[in-house]
Amino acid sequence: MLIGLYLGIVRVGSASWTHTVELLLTDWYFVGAVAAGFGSQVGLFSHLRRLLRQNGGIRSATVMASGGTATSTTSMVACCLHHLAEVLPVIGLSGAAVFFTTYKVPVILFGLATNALGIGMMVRAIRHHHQTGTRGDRGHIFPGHDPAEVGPDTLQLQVTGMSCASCVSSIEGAVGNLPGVASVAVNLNAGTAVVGYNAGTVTASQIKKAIRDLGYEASERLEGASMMDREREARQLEVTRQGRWMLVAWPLAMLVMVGTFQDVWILPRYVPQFLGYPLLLFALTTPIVFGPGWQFFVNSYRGLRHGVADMNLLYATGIGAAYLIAVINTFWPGAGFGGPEAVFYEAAALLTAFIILGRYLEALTRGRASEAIRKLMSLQPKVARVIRGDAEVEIPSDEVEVGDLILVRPGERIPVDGLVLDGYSAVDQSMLTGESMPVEKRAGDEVIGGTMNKTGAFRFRATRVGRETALAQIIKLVEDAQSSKAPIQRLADLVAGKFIFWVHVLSLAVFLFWFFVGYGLFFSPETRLMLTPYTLAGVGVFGFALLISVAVLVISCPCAVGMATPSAMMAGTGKAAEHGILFKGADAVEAASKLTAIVFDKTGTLTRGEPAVTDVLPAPGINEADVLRLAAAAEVNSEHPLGEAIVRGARDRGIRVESPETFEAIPGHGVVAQASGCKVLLGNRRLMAERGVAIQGMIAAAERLEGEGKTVMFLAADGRPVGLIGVADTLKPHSVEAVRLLHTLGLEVTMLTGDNRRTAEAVARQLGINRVLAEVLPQDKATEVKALQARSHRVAMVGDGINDAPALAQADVGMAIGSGTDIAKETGHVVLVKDDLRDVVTTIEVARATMRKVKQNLFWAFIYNTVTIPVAAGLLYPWTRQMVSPELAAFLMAISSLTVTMNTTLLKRFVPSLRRQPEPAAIGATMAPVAGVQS
Amino acid sequence: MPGRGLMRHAGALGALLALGAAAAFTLAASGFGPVARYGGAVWVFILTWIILMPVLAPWLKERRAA
Repeated sequence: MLIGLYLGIVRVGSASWTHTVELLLTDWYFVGAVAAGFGSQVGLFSHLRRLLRQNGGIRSATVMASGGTATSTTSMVACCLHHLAEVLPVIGLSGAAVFFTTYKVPVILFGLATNALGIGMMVRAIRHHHQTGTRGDRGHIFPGHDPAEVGPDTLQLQVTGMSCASCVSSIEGAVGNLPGVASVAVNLNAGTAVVGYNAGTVTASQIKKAIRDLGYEASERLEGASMMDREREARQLEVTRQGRWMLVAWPLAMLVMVGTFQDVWILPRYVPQFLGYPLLLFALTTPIVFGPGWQFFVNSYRGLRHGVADMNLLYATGIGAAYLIAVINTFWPGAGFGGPEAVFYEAAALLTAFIILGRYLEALTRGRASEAIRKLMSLQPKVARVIRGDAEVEIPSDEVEVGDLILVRPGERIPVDGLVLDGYSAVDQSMLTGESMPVEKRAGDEVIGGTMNKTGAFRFRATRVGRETALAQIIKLVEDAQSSKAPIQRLADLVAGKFIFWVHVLSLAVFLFWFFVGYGLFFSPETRLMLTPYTLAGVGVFGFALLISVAVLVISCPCAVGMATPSAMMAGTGKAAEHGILFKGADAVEAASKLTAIVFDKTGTLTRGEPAVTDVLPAPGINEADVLRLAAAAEVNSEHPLGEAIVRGARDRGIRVESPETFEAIPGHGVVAQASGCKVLLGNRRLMAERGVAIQGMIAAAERLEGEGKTVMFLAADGRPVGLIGVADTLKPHSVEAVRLLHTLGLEVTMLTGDNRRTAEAVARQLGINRVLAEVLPQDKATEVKALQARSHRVAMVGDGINDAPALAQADVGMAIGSGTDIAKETGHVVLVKDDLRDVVTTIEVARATMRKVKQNLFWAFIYNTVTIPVAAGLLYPWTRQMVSPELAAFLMAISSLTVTMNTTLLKRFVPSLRRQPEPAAIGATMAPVAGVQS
Repeated sequence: MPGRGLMRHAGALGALLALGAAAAFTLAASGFGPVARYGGAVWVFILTWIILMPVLAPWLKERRAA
C-alpha cells in the first residue's frame, strides 16, 4: 500500500499571526486526530488552508514523500511528529501540526518560506535525518520508506511561441516564482522547459497555466515518435503561420517602399505617381500593422499583464510609433511631426516585414536544430518480423516483447536489442557508434536495435525493448543534453533578460536628450535616414526624438543573443552523437572544452583488462608451439587468469590443447600436471627451486620481461626446463595514438592504476604517458582527481564507469568509455559508445568546436547590439546628419539572427581530426606492447 | 506567478508614477508646441510605465511577503 506523506508548509504573513495560527492548528490537530475517514480529513485540511489564507494572505506549499507501507496510521502520525520535532530546529520552523487520514498524513508547518529554497531545505533535512538519525533505523521513523524518494518531480514541457531570450527569461521568472517549483530550465531552440517541482505544492496544470498566461503554448512532452510528430506539427504550424504573414507583409511592404520613394532616382520613370499618395500608403500599411503585426501587440499586452517586458513589446512600440507618426502626418499634416513629407509608412511596413522574416527564419532554424534526434528516431524500423510458432509474423516494433524471437534478413534494420541465436552477418552500427566498418555478428553476439544488417540473415532473441533499447537511451541522452543549459547560456539569458529593461530605459533617456538638448543643438534640415535619399527637413522636435527612440528599441532586440548558445549546443551534441559520443548535458560540453588534464584508468580503459600471452621463449632445441602446448595442457583445467590466458593463447595460435591426466594447483607457486606423457611444472621461480629445476639459463630473459612489467612463468618437463612464457595485459588498439593526440591538444595525460609501480611505469612508457599514479586503491582514485583539480587543472577522468564511478563523478568531465548498449547505467558526464580511446580526442575536439561556435555566435549577436545601439541613439548624428531608420534597425536585427543561424550551420561541416586523415594502422594492436599482470 | 490582484496593483501604481513622469515632462516642455509637449508626454508615459511594471511587480510581491 502506497503511503504518501504530505508536509504542508504554511507561511504566515506576519509574526502577529503566528500565535493565532498555531492555536488554530493545535485545535484542528486534535479535531483531526479523533476524526476518522479520508474525506473528512481532506475537508478539514482544505478548510484550514482557506481559513489561513483569509486571515493573513498566507500561502502554502507541500513537500511530498512517497513509498513504503504502514500498518498503523496512529503510529505513522506519531512517527511524523517525532521526526519533525527533530527536523524543525534544522530548518527553523516555529511550529507544526499533523493531520492524518487512513493513507495520507498532511503536516502543516509554519514559519518557513514556501519558496524553492525552503522546500529544498525541508527535503534535505528529511534526507539528513534518515541518514543520520540516531533513534532506531529509518524504518522505525517511516516504515519502509525510502528517503531517496523525497524530492522534486520533473515535468518536461514543449513550449511554442517563444521567439527570443527574453521569452526564456519571462517563462523562467514566471514559473520559478510558483511556490513549489525547485528549478526551471527553458531552452529556446529546442522549445522545451524542464521544471523540477514538488507535486504536492504545485501541479503540472498550474505550471502550464503560468506559461500560457504569458502568451505561449505549453504541453507535456510526449515520448518517441509521438513527441517528434507533435513537435514537428507545432513547428510546421509556426512556419506556416509566419510564412503566411510574410506573404501578406512583404508584397505590401515592397509596394509601400516603392510608393514612398516614388519620386527618387529613376523611380519616377517606372512607378506611377499615385503609389506615393499618403492615403494609398495608409491603406497598404494598415493591413500589415493590424494583420501580421498584430501578434506583437497581443503578446506584449499578455506579457505586460504579468509584469513582463519582452521583445514583443519592443516590436509593438516600434511599429506602433512609426505607424502613428505616419497616420498623424497623413491626416493632420500640421501637427509638427514632419508634415506630409515625413510619412513613415515604409518604416512601419518594412519593420513588420523584417520582424516577421526573422520569426520565420527562427522557426525554420529550430526545426533543423533537432535534426539529430529525428535522424536517430528514424533509425528504428516500423515493423519487426517475429517468429511465433513456425510462422513469421510482422508486428509493429513497439509491440515486440522481451524474449521474442526475431528474424532479420539482409538489408533490414534490427528492430530491438537482442542476442543472436543463430545465423551469421555483418551489421553496420555506424549510425549509433560511429564505427566505420560493419561488425560481424554470430551466435552469442549482441545486436543493437536501429542498426543495419548487411549481408546474412540471423535470428535473435529480444533482450531490451521500448525505452530500454540502446537507441531509446541514446535519444533520451541527446534530448536531455539539448534541453539543458550550459553556464555560458545562463549568463547570456540573464543578460538578454535584463537587456529589455535597460533598452527601454535607454530609449527614454535618448528621447529626453534629443527632445530637450540634441534637437536644438544639432538638428539640420539636411537630416537623412541612413542608406536612403530620404530627407527629414520638416521633422519636428518630437518626431525627431521619437524616431531615434524607436530605432533604439528596435535595434536592441537580443534575438540573436538568445539563439547563440542553444543553437550551437544542439548542433554540437548532435554532431557528437553521430560519432557515438553522448554528452549528458550542455554543461558537459562547456566543461570538456576547457579541459587541461586527462586521467585514464589503466585496466580496462588503456588496456584490455585481461592477461594475454605476449612472449614464448623456448629452451634450445624446443619450439614455441611445444612450449605452449605443454603449458596449455597443464593449465586447461585451471581457473586462474594466467592459466586461462595461456590456454587462450595456445588456441589462438591454432594449437590443439590436450587434457592432463592429473592436475594440481599449488597456490602462490603454479601448477603440477601429468600431460603428454610427462610431468609438467608451470610456475614461478619458487616452484622451480622447490622441485630442483635448474633455470639459471633463463633468468636473464625472465628479468628482462619482468622489467617490462610482464609476469613470467617457467615451464619444466620431467625436471628439465623447456621454456618460459610472458603474460601481460595488452594495450587496446588506438591507446597509443589517443595519448599522442591528446598531447598534441596540449593536455596533461595521467595514468591511474592499482597495479604496482613497475608494471604501471612499463605500460606508461609504451603509451608515452609521463605521469603515473600507481598503487592507487579504487576508493582513492577520486582523491587523486581532486588533487589534480587543486593544482588548477580542469580534469577529465576516463574509465569504464564501474569501479571508477567516484572518480568519474569527481572529475570536471567523467567519460565512461566502451559502454556499448549499457548507456543508461553509466556514470559520468559523457558516454563513449565505442570502445575506442580516440573518441576521447573527438569528444574534446567537438566540445571545443561547439564552444568556439558559441563564442562566435555571442560575439556576432552582441557586436550588432554594441555597435548599432550607439549609432541608433544618434551618436554619429552631429557629424553625419544621418539617422538610423526603424526599418534599417529591423533589417540589422534580422541580419544578426541570420548571421548566428548561418554560423551555427557551419558546425555541421565539422569533421574530427581523426576523420580528416586516412585510417592509420592500429598502433599497439592485439599482441603488441604489454604490461604485467599481478599473479 | 504574481497574483492578478498584485498585478493590477502594480499596474495601477505604475500608471500613476508614469502619469507623474508625463506631467513632469509636460511642465519641462512648456516652451514647445502642443504636439511636441503632449505627444512627448504620451511617449514618456508609455516608456515609463513599461519600465516600471517589471520593477514594481516583484517589489510589491516582496513587500507583501515580508
